[in-house]
Amino acid sequence: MLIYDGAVNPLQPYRLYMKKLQILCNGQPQEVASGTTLARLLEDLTLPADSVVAEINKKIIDRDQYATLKLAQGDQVELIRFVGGG
Amino acid sequence: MLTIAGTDFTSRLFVGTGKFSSSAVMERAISASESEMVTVALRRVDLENPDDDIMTHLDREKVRFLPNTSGARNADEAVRLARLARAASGTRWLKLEVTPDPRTLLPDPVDTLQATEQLVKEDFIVLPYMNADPILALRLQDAGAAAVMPLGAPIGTNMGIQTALQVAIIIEQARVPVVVDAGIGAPSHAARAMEMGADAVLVNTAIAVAGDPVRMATAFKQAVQAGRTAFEAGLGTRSSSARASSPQRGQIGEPLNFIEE
Repeated sequence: MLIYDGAVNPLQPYRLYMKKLQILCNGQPQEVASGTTLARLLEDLTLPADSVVAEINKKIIDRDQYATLKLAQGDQVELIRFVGGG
Repeated sequence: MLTIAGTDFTSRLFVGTGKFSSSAVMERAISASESEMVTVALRRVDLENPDDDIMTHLDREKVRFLPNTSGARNADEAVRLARLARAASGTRWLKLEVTPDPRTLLPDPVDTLQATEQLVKEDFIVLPYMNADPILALRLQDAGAAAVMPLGAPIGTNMGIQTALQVAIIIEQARVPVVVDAGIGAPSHAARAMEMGADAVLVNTAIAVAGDPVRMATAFKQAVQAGRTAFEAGLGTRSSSARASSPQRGQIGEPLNFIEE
């Protein structure tokens, strides 16, 4: 299905015509283009893949799957990393 | 030499990395402490600050990572965090923390034991944070814990070793190392734990929130060394009446009439 969602963004024109998926990323609703891989999501968030561990629907994803794993409608994505703690 | 799960440690001071005012201060404090193992927590990435990454501030050549499961309220959440910690760090080492009550942050003994059993099965090196309960320490040890970490006082309270009697029993009975964790608010508290025979202490808040965390880290390093040396040297026994250090014979002066001898 093709959707035109209004204002034209010249930087990402192809996305205007692609199906959108709703996901939850760290608890926040987000919309990504159909076919977006986990690697692409991290890139868009400017997160180096080796600095985080990703969990989708409570399943830990191996880093070597990031480039091929495509997000699906309703996925609950958790991007987690180490912080200071006792 | 302290050995946990076949790994030798020269330093008996473990340091937590929370609450520091900056990563630079944390780095310098860890360096001053000469600690060889630091705890870290797992949290969601702050998507507004994607560059804020503690891993870039810790030299894993010098310090071993001990990820914790802080935030876990039951065994299932702790196991989930443990698996994430292993995936994120590649280490099997884990400080198991199950704290259902945010007010006291006291550890849940039942879920801590259950999670220890599960994680040992999954080949983790489990160091459970526990209340200072000698029987629970034996149960955790039997479940395969690599060390036990009884609390001195609730996390972040700086109240010292309020649980001294129970900690002493734990130390007396344990076959695995005993690391006194939580409540250590001053170098004297750390020294006391070490004098009692604890194998190590874990300190975070007292260093991180000190006026000068780097100097406080040095003070804790010295206190832990002093306390350990004192334990190895063997403390004298306590007495309820005075025992003069100077000779009682050959004193000048006459008897006092208001003291019965």
